[in-house]
Amino acid sequence: MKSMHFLACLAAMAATASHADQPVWGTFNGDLAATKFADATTFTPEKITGLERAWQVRTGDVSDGSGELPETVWSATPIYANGILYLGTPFYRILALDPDTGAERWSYNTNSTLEALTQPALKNRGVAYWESGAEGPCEKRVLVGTMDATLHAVDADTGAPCADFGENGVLNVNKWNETNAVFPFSLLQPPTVVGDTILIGWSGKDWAYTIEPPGNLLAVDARTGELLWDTGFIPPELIPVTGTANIWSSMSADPELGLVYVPVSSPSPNYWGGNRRDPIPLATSIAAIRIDTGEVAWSFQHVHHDVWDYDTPSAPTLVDLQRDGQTVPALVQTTKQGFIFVLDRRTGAPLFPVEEREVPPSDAVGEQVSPTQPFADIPTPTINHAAMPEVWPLADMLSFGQCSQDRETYRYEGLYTPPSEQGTFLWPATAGGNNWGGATVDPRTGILYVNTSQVVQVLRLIPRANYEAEVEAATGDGPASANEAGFYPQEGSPYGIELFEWRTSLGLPCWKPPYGTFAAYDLNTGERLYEVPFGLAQQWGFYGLRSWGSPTLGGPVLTSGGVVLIGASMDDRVRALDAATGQELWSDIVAAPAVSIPAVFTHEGADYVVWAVGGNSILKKRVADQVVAYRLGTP
Amino acid sequence: MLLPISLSAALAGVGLAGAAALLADTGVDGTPGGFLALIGAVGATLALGLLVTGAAPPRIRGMLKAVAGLAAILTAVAAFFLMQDALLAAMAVSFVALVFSAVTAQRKTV
Repeated sequence: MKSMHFLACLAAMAATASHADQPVWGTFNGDLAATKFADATTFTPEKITGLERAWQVRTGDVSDGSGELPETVWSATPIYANGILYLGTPFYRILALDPDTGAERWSYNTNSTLEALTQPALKNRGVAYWESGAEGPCEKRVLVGTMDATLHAVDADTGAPCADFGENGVLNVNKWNETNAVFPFSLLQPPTVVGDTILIGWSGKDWAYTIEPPGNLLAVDARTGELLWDTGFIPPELIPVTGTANIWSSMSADPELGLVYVPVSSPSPNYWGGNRRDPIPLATSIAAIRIDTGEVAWSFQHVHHDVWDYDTPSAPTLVDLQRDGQTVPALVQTTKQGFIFVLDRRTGAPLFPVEEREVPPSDAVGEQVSPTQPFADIPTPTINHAAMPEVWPLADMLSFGQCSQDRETYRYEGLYTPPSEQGTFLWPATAGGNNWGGATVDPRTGILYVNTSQVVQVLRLIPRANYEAEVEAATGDGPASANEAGFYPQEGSPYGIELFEWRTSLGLPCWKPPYGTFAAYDLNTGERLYEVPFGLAQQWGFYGLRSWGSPTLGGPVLTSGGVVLIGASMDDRVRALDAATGQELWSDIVAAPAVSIPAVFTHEGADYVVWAVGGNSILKKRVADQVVAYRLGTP
Repeated sequence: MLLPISLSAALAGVGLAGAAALLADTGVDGTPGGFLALIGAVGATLALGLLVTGAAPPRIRGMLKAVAGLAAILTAVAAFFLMQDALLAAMAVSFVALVFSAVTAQRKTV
């Protein structure tokens, strides 16, 4: 009976999983394959310059942190389904908007506590959508999670809570948070819906503790919220001494294979692993989980014994590639450390060589890092691992040699140089490289497009005995503002940490630009087709040169017409790029950095692109509550 | 004739810089750079205003011209890095007109 039910689910899922013929933008990444590919035929390089703002909405759900509420970070991808546009906000409300006017159809307030329980800011990446295929109340549902660990299900037509889900439409996910529960399971990333199964990952509080909740994937019934299975990623014997290896990002799924592909993060604490010397094979991995049972079908660990917080950051992209005349179902994972791993999604076997190479040893107390790490030279990494960027002469001159001095002071012996008491350069930075925005791929050609941040950080381990004094000296008021100053305790380990970008005292980056790039890869051959600077860096309002590019947060969308639509840069702009060259074709200024993936869909015959514009202080101090929609003007 | 042109351009610069710094979604609104450009444009305008109206004593006219020129050119540079092309053009016109005015006045004196 169970298998019959599963087959029925597969049939229902087939439409959701396909991409090119799908008029909806039904998931965070557009489709379950996480291609971010939209069949918007009118969005071509020739026509896209005629893109005009169709409407904009201000949600009111924003805070710059200067008042009683914490700062907001908004990275929601709108969902277009059921002829309506659905958004989650950082105040954990759902908005249902008319796609062609932005007029509000209904809204739903979770009344969640607006406290930054696990994250430094109120954060939301949107909503999920489920439909049964039948007609009637709650046969179509919108789901939103909250930072205080509740999942709400409401009717997609009216916004009324679905009483049969959890308790009157609210599922307390934290009831499954039973071990090392030092923080709640924050539901910031919308869950992944495959058939009638809702797959839930959660976020925790990074860099704070050594012993934390062990990461897991929860599968619940879409109608009732009943727990179907729970798959953990930390070996049971290590749970008393470590934790996390959670899934805080989006997932992808192949219903035909019956697998969901999950990006698993690093174990705790993030920058010291003396408590967890035994292998944790599923940490910092891509894991393929059977949707019907929760069993791990295969996994691929791309960082052994992670002490750099190089979490698997995004949903793997699923695409069929041509190899030796054969069509191979592949999975492509972009990573914080800049490798692009291309695997056979049936088995996890690499489709390009992956080589274990020796990496530098650690000198931290009690630490024993892995002697080797996996390297993939094909496709060409998005980050140049051959050498760290050189000191930028202009910044060095203006800082009277501070940058050159830093270069001599801090440790860097190549990728995977371990954290140290003297300070270690993180190249790429702990946020990547490539982060949760992931890549977009053309399923017709196997060409992948991805934006990359080129940022250098410094990480310093601070012996426990000195930590409080150093924080006090740096902040003047102790732990209260420690995080803002870049200090994190890693309680329970021998070290706290200090983490900062490598900049001069005037705020200039010490490393040579570019700071952000955009690139295209032929996944059939591994060849990089082009790499160009992307976006504009901005400091105090002044823009950098075009050749410098900008760090990015958020992801691209590719249209079938050959245009890439992307926000992500720190210069408050959304852009259209020519997919063939990466050159900018169109841009518009918005209220803050659009640190999100746009939704691209066709509504009543017109193609739309919609961004949630919310900002993120990782890029710059500017927040907003803007939803902005574009369509082609009347010819 | 050239000084009033310089003043008019600087005045236009005040409007453009004010719009860039204060109106929403200009990309530089509310930023230190935006306000710096506004201050520069206002400074150039005030100095040029004193020159054009003859309110300034003759002994400080040279200094006012230098202040106006410096403010105009620095505001133009700021406008370049703020990607405010209209402001850049206005302040460049103001600067060039001021320089020509000074050169012309010097020739007449000679």
